[in-house]
Amino acid sequence: MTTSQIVQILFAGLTLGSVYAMVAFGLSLVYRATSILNVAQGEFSMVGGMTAIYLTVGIGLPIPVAVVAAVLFAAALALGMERFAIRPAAHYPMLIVIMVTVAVSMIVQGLALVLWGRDSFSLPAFLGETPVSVFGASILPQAIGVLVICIVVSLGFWAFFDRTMLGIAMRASAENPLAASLVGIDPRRMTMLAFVLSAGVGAVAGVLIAPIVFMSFMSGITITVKGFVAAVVGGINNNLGVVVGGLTLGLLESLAAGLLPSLYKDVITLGILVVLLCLRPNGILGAR
Amino acid sequence: MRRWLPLAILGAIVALVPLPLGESYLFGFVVLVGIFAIAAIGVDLVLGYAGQITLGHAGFMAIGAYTTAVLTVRGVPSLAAFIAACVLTGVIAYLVGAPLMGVLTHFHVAIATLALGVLIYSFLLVGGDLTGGFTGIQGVPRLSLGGLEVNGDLGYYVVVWVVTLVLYVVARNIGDSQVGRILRAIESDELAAQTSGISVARYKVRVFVLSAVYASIAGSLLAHYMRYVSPTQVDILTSFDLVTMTILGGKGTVLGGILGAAFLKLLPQFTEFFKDYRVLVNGLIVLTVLLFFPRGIVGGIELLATLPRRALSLLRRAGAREPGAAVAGIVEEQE
Amino acid sequence: MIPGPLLQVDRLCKSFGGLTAVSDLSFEVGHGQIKAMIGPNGAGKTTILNLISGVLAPTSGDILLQGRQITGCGTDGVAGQGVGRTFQIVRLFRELTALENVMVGCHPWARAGLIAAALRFPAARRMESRIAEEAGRWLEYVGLESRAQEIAGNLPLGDQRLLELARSLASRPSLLLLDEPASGLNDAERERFGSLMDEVRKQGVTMLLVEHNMDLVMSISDEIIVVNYGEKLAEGTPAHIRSQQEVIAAYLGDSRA
Repeated sequence: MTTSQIVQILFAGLTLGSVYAMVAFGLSLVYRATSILNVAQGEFSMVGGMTAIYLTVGIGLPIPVAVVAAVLFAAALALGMERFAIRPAAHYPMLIVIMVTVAVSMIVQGLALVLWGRDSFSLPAFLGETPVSVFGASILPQAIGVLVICIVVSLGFWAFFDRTMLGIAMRASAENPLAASLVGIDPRRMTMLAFVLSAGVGAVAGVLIAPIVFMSFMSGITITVKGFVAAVVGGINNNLGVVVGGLTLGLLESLAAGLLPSLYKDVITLGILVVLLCLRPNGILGAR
Repeated sequence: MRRWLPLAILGAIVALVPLPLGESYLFGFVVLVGIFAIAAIGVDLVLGYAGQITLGHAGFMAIGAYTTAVLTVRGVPSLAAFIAACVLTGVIAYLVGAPLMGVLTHFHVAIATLALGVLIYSFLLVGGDLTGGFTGIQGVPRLSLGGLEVNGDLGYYVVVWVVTLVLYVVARNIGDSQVGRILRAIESDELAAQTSGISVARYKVRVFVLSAVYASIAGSLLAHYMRYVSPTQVDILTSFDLVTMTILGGKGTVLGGILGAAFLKLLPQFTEFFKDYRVLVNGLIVLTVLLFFPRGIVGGIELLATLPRRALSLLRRAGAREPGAAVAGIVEEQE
Repeated sequence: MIPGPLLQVDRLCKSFGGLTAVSDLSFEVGHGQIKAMIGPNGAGKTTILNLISGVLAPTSGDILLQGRQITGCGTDGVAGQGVGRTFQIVRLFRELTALENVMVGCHPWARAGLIAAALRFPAARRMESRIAEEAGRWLEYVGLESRAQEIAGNLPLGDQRLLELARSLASRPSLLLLDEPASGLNDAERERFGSLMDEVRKQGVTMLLVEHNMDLVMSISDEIIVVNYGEKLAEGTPAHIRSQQEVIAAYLGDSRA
């Protein structure tokens, strides 16, 4: 392989990986705040991407507006999810709660199906049209932009959970909701905040990945699975782990896509996940 | 004798359905109900009894369907292909399930089964000449039992529903036995189950494999009935459908699998606009049932069955004039 | 009386990262004995029970049951060897009925095969009725036969503790580990539990219990072992320990005699 091909694959992998890392952040956020693992996480990304596509390509709104609207829409869905699905199930066993998130995922998919039908759509690259030359490879500014955004989000998460009052309050609420409420933290508000933030991050990820893949109402499922791979590989409790996991997965996928016809890449990556789960359920960097 | 009642009623309904419906286009769907009921019962054993979330079960149907298709198209007799399909599915379910069920949480199992389902689906798409890619495999021969070919909707109806009822009885036997109790105990409190000497992982894996074989049987029957197999028959939406059927019918009841399948396959026929709303409505149904009607349709039937008794005691209490008689009425009801 | 101890704990150690929970602990429990483990909260008593019952694996040391190693057998393995256990916070199968709870407890001697159950072989059916019968007898033993069909999660705490006891007895254990069985019970319930334990001892079951309630401990134990910071402080008959009470009370700050 030539240098430029390698660089191409590298950048593609890092771009993809950043997006996966962001999805994994969303999963991690909800898990660390509520102990719930949200099967519907990928749907936020799907909704974010699809809404942005619809508003830009379909209606003709400028990209920044569409992105903001997409994120807000996803956040609103998350609010609805927390209020009408998660909260009523608060005291049910974890099995039921997870099934509830599966139900929500079906509802959101169904909503997307009704709104946008079964077709796949794509978004034109919006972070600059002219490719940049890196080591002879032609890289879209989009890729660099995604990387930058991912770094920003990662730092943001780290800062949030470790440095801000709110982040610490959220972790406290997850450990021991009763004790937290006794010191004035409302676990319900924390839960709501966690879901809304994870939806926001997920939506951003969806918008970022929309120019790269074709999205349809069913995209959420693979996004959830891949976000989970990233979290499992890296360790869901660990900020650094999530990033490492996401990037690893992205690079692996990119490599597979580069060497084999693109249809095989899903088989490869999913195969790796299944094997990985069976051999190292606790991930590489993190416990649990 | 009470335990035979549902089966008897079911058997009667199954026997009588062809009479009014035999010629209508609905009949084909009733055959499909039987097929999917088998898979849904399998899901109930894993989800309703052992409490393991399986989101990719259509993948096991796919293995059954495609193995049958691939083999019978090449001349292998139906029964041999059938057994091969079951064995293959069982082996795959074991290889994936064994490490999975040992250590992992509900979520791991949910995502891993989801991933497995997507993996199998993707594999079908790229399988090239073997799986026929997006179009699948056409021209699957009819089911032949010892040289006798099964022909026509009525023929398949009989075969499918005999299998369904037999597998229903088997599942009920398991559910009502010590094994069923142990599965429910595992769902309830794994540590306490282990303290009673139960090897939790082993039971989870066994029921997972069994449920996969159930799905495989359904898949093989589907291949013969439809005379073709394609990826859309067994995609992730189908997996979600199976879970919907189980929960809607009533998880942990086995009968729920049949009722849920009937509901999900037949109702859309009466409401044409459903087409694109199917996924949305299914999601809403599952959410509502999970939150408010834990025992699904079966729970509803049980409730209805107790209504006469409740109405009677209510009347008795209303008819009482003196407090003494009212108290006597209430005391009687407690018996 | 069978000679030799039923349970031998030999130089048992358990550390969690930097924290040593159990340190060089050794003791024995003889056949048919009731031995109580006392000590302040956080002394490591539940950890010790967890180590014996296989919930945790020791960092070092041995645990022997009838001379056989049970260290590292895993919870279900240890249970299969004849060790029963109740928990500090009652662990029942809440969605199952009381009778079903005890029936599940029969598992160690009532192996259930999937195929046999699926096809309802006569052997399986006979085993079912034997299980139901024995479970019913254990419910009667603890006085809960009238509650047999009630959902376990709905029972009051006193009955739940009795049910948990019945479930662990149903496994026909040779050793029973009880973690604060009297916690949350009123005086009458506690006395009932105590006399039950006496009955169980007469049946030949050996018991090791962790308990805070001194009335129960003093009245029922053959021997007492005092534990603090995962170390053995003292061991002996109730009278002996009582005489040391002042020393212990001074050390532990516990003035309940």
